[in-house]
Amino acid sequence: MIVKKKPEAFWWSLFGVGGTLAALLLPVHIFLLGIAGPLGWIEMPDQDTFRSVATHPIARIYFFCLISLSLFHWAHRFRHSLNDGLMLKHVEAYIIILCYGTAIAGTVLAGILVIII
Amino acid sequence: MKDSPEITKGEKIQYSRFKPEMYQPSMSLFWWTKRTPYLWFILRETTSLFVGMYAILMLIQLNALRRGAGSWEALIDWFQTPLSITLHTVIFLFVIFHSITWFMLTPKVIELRFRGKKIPDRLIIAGNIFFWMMISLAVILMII
Repeated sequence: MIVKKKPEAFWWSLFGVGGTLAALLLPVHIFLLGIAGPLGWIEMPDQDTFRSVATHPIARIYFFCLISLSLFHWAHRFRHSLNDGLMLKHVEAYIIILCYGTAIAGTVLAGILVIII
Repeated sequence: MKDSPEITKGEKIQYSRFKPEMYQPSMSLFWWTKRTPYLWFILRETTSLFVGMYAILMLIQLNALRRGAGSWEALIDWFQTPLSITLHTVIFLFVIFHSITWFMLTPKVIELRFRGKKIPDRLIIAGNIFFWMMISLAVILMII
């Protein structure tokens, strides 16, 4: 029996890991920096403090993985939502390029940013 | 098989991969509003849009950090506007919905066994949520 390797499995695995990371980590990030900080419930970190945290090698890897895999999670799920929800399967090729292309571009950008920060 | 007479009949029929000329069932573009479970499904899938949006916002944060104190202060000022707080609240609610639905799906994707017995779904879901709470608490304690 010939088992043909399909790209779906590769994108699905990125979707899976990204979904798990996003589920575990994004809520607390959004709550602290986007809601609690701006409303004055906690003190917002100043640039110097936050930058010294973000330049730690583990933090660089952390931000890179979280951003990149969240984007791949979005790309895969959104692609299938457009296909099934809005029945755009006839323009599937464009959707694939748009979704995964955005995720790849974001990954490159995240890679550059965590290096030069 | 080529040029089957009953199909072509001298006319040029265009077949595409997903919409055969002869069979085009009609289905509303908004089929998912017809039943509640469909709506929940689409709502669950839509959470990914907000996960992606926050990834972009994190890129913006890192870029502001890199550009210096001035850029960071400007971003913090924007974060304090009602627009930003509303946006972050909406993103937060969708991402919470993503987290809960994701943890509830885990036992459907993986089947864990302990000494030959299947671990009950509820235990896996409870474990996931407990782990999520611990991680969130750890991040909060690190920041404060």
